[in-house]
Amino acid sequence: MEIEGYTGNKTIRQSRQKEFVMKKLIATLSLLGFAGVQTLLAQATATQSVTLAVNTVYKIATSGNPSPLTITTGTAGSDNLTSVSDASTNYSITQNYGNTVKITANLDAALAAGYTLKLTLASTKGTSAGSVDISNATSSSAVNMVTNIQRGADAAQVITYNFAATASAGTLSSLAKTVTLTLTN
Amino acid sequence: MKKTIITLALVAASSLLVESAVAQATATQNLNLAVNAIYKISTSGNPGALTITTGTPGSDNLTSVTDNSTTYSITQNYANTVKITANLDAALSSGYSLSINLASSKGTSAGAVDISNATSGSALSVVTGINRGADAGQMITYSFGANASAGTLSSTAKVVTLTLTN
Repeated sequence: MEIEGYTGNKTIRQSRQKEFVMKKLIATLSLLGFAGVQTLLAQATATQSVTLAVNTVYKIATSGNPSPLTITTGTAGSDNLTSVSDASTNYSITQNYGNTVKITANLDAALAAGYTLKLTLASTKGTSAGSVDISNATSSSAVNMVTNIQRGADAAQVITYNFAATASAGTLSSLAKTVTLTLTN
Repeated sequence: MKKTIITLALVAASSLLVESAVAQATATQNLNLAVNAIYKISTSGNPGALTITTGTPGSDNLTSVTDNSTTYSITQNYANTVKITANLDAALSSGYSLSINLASSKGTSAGAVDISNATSGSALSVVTGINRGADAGQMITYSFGANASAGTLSSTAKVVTLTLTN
């Protein structure tokens, strides 16, 4: 009996120990679970409103000035002297306005009769008008050189000048002229 | 409040319009243009041989021969008072005469000019008052005369120089 009593007490004690361990485990797991949940929820937020804008951008530049255009010869019997050309400079543009932008050209003042200045602007983003006579193009009568220029950039496009004269127009001392290229809509 | 909003909207709209109207950029290049003084003259080639082959009995002046098979062309932009002179490489012997006549539409032709003794140091004007521009395909007429008393002349090459000058 004692043995049995002892055995019975032992069983009860073991059972209580198991129960205690179980409770301890549950408590531990509960704490861990809470900590886990607390970890998942540990965050904070802040917001900012950002205003973005890109203004209309028109940029055009040239690489410099061309060499002097000097007519030095002709053909006997022909009033048209031998014209001279210069293709040593280029222009670059950047624009984001539209796909119908153009470049116009004009002189500061028209050339005298008998002298002709033609200009050609190459283009990969628009349609070049080819060789255009700008002899009489002034600020109020600028002529189109490149049309339908697409948005973006077009770099280092060749500028070609061709200067011609007739013999009957006479000689021309070194004459400074200003050519204005305008990128416009 | 409504009035303020409308006003602001109009201001914004007008701002867009202004921005759209002046949406452009410019770049400039400085050019130097010049036309130098240009004098050009050329001929179409050489005339045929000028050979005197006959005369008139009783006359010392043999029958002269002419050639107008060639032309000259000029281009000049210097002035309206330019001229053409002519000369031989060496004067002809006495008894032989060579005259030249240059037609011109841009200047005044001197008509037939005796260049028998005109050398580089004594060139003669054959066209004067030439205006700026070009004059193409103008006729050159040579007339070669000789006296019977001067004797025969073996084929002799002569060089005629036409000079366009101011």
